[in-house]
Amino acid sequence: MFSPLAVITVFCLYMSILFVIALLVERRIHFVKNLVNNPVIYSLGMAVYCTAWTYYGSVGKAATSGMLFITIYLGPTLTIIFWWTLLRKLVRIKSTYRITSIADFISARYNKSPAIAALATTIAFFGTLPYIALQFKAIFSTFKVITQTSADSSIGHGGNVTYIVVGLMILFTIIFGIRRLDPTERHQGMMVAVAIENTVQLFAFLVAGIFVCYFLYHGFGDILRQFSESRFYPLMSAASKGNSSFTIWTTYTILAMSAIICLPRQFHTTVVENTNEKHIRTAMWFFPLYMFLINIFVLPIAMSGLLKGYSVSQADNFVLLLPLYHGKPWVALVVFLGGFSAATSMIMITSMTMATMITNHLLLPMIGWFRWLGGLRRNLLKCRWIAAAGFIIVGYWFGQLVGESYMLVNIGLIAFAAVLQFAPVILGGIFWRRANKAGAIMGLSAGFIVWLYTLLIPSFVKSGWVSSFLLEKGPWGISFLNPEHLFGVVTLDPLSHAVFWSMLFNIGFYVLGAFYCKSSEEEQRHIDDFIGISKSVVSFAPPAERENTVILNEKAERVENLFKQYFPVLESESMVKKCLCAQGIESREKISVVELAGLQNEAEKLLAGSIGTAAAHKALQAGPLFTDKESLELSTTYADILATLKVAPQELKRKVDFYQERTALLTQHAEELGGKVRELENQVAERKKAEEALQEERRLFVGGTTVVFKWKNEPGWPVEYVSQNVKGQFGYTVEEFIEKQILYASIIHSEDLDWVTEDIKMHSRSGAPYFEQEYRIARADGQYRWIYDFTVVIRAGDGQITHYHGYVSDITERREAQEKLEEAMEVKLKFISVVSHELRTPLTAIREGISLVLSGKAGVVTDVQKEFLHDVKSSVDRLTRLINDVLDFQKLEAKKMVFNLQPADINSVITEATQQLAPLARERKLNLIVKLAQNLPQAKLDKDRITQVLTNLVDNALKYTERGDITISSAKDETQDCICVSVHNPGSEIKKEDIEKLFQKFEQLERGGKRKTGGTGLGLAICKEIIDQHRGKIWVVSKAGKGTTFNFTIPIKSDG
Amino acid sequence: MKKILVVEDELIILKFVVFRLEKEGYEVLSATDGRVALDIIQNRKPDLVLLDVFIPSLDGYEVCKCVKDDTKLRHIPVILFTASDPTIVAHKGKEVGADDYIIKPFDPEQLLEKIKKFIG
Amino acid sequence: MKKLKNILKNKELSIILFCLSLVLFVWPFLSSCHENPAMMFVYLFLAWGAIIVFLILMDTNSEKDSSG
Repeated sequence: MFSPLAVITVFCLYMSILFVIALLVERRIHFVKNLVNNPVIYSLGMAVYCTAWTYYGSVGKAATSGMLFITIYLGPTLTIIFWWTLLRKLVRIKSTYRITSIADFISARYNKSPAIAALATTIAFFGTLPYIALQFKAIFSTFKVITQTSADSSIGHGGNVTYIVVGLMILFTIIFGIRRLDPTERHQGMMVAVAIENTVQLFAFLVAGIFVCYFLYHGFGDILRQFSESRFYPLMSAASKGNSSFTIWTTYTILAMSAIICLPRQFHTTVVENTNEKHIRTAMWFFPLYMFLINIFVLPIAMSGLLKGYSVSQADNFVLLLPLYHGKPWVALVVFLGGFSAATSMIMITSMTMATMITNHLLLPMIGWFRWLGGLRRNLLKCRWIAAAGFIIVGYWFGQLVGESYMLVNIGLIAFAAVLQFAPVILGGIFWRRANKAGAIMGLSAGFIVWLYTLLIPSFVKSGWVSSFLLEKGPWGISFLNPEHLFGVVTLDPLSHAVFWSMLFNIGFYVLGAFYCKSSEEEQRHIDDFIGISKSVVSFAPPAERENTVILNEKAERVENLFKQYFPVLESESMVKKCLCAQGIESREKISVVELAGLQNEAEKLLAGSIGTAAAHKALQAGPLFTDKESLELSTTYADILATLKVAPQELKRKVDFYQERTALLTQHAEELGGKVRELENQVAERKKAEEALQEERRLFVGGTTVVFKWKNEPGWPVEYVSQNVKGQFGYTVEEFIEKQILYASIIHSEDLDWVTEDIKMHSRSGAPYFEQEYRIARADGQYRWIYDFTVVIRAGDGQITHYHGYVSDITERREAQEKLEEAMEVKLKFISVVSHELRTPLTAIREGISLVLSGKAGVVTDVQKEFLHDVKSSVDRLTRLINDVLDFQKLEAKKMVFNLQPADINSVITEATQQLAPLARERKLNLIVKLAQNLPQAKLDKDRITQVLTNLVDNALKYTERGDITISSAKDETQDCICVSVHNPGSEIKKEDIEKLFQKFEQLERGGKRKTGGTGLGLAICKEIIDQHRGKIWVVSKAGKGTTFNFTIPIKSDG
Repeated sequence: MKKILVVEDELIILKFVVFRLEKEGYEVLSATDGRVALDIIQNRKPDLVLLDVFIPSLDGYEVCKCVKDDTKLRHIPVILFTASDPTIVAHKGKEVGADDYIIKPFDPEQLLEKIKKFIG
Repeated sequence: MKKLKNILKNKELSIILFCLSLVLFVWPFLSSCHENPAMMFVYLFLAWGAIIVFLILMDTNSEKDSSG
């Protein structure tokens, strides 16, 4: 339907697109970058399991035996359930040992044995080569179908197609699969291309399926129904019956279960190409889903093919034929492309991994044996290219050779049976400690041989290359050894039979070898690493410090030389540097043997990434870094360590790991705790500080005698808190107040309780923050004490009083003292009173008598008598004044001078006083001049006292004046709002320094040094007191020549 | 002639005061204790009473009070006559309704003046 | 729901699932519909679908599981 050229163009275009994408990925172009490390890409990579054999062959198988084909996909699903444990282990081992292929893995586990690697490679080769052939076959046959070319002309165009396809395959594989000896052996570009191919494959098949189901028929139900009514139905169902149907089913399932890991291409895409363990989780459902989808239309397509009348022998191509001849040729083209994708992806991956295996495990050992091949080491990469190309070409050629024989059709399952031999060694390798190299070699070999004999050779027979005699009668007529009926087992079909026997021998020898052959110490170590790979690997640091005897440069050069055998100079140099850095010894001159061992390890690892563990191991053994002496020293070191510990190596490693981990944990824990402890310490210190401050405050404040109370604002004032010293002060214990709930009110004296309560109420209402009270409370012993209570009001947020804070001091003594004082005062006053009265009375009599006689009313008095009597009278007056002064003094001291302030006119007071003093002035022959201001307002004053002041002042003036006039004046002082009275006498002067002392008690100014004037000197002091009490001022102004003026003021507005 | 009652328990002072007052032309009655004084006031109704404060049986303040409480005797001026603290006297005197007071030892002129003030 | 999640987190679930699958895919259920390919088709795909769903649930419910 399509011209060959068109088809060729299409798939060339397709390959180019893939090429470009792969290139972009390799170059890490930004938008493509995210494609890499994607769990979906990873999962799609696995889908390389579905090859052209799947694509076309499933339909073929379905047409003949119903659902049997599905076991090929159910098997993997079963295995996948365990993948989280199983696959993760494999991936971790891969990462640690830098595993590059399945053969590498197996050999790595079994003591890095090159023999095993070689054996595994051989088995893989046998398993995959025919498979490759099958893919090519599929491509070409479907090409023929779609271009409708006959067998003859196929040579012409077909030949072109062949070259083109083969060439493309080689090119693609080499460019994206074997570009460098990458230590991680990952090929991102390739994987993306493969992922896309697998997507195309799925898509194409689904398109075909949908076309068939919904365009040719009316859905699944329709097809199934039609088919079950047709004549084909019994054929198909019959084929799926039979005694051995179950066996076949089981066998197929087992084979598929192992193939999903053991096939080289599967191992590569699933284990080697894994970058992130978490991707496994996604793959675990993604891949089964993929298989589910790609298979869902298989049976319907098979059924419809049969229904449409195609022969069973064409079943393989149903998926292509149906759309091609039933209206949708473009669909057929898409289908072709899908099949093409399936085939090419398988070819590329398989060739790539086989190339790696062949070069690493077959070629390198050969180079080791044949020195002249040494030059090849340098060109490992090119060797790989040749291997890949060779493999592809041989595969194609094999396909051509074998033709349409039995072999090819069944090659898939035969290949599965071959790789099944890997299953025991792999599973045993990662789970069984006892499994060892000897057992592995024996098992693998035995299994392989049995496979060869029971499957491969019979297939040769069936293809016609070997005489059928073998199968009919057995070798040399020994039916017991008939390849398909070994040891008399006749009930099994050939495949199951082969599987049974090969597994029996394989596992049997494997186990035998494990039990009877001892594994070396070194191997044991590896085994531990393998099996214990789930736990994170803690690096082992040798505890012993050894002398640095080894010269680094020498050894580094050796390592570099080794690398140079495989890599270009520059790369070798950088690799050496990498090794040194990894060990941390790059800047050292000398190192210890132990560090040297570490360096060797590192170099081996690095090398293994490119040439496989076995080869790397061998290489490093071949060009030893250690001199004999050094080796000896190293062993001695290890031996010493072990000896002191008296422990086996693996035990030691386990212990060390454990302790190291524990130490790390404990250190971390200790740090955390240390931090916490510091924090706590800080807290404690702060708290202590706060406590101390509080205590200090308490001590200072409470100070022993002040008792602190806190009362609740409730009836009776229950005590919420009371300070400790309440016991010492009042005899109550804290418990009595707090626990026994003695109400405060109950200890207040009954007489005081009422007014105290009232007082508190009043203060509370007034909103004052605090108030003071003095009342009595009962002490514990019943005695009442006066206390001074300073209470602070505590209000809540809403203003309501919740508590009172009281500071209570015992003031009984003070009060008693006060009372005594008052009593004494009372006594004194009484005394004053009495004395004043008693003294005055006789004085009165004396004075009166004298006065009468003097007046002449009691008879005529002579002048001399008059004079003497006058003198007596003067003395009496003096005495009177003295008494008055003394009594005044007492009152002054007691502050008991009583004033009777009444509004009065100062002028009248002055006038009266002056009249009284006039006689005295006359005696002295001095004049009293009175200057009174008019209309003076009234002031509050005690008339007698002011008179007393005036008398005193005038008296003084008279005393200290020789001659002249004494002026008394009154005036209103506007600024001070008071009345000012002055007494002025000219001629006398008071010195400045004397003025200060003037108003003090007992002060008298001397006149000429003699105390002539007499008197107590209290006069002015009393005047001052009087004026002070009037809230006025008294002062004196004196100037030489001018005279002295005494002034006093009385405020008009009295505010008291 | 105006009648003055002098109530004083110091005999000497009494003598002098009576003498002076008689010389001034007043009729002078005398008493040495409160009860007697009150009696005389009620019976003889003097024109003025010169009343010492510290006297036996009934003290001057009481006498004054009685006199002033008695509607019939109220009109009689009472001058308190004492050696006590003037302020106390003034205060207490007001309380009992005394008309004036004079402090011993007194100025005779002052005394006469005060008397003249009340009864001329 | 939480209980179900806890069940799914259990590592032993893998083994149970495996045994279940064995039973479903191999024998004895298979033999019951061995004759009819159509029925086998439907049955197998349904069973397979269920297992895949289980696997999906296991994945979404063990995101926190990092070691093991």
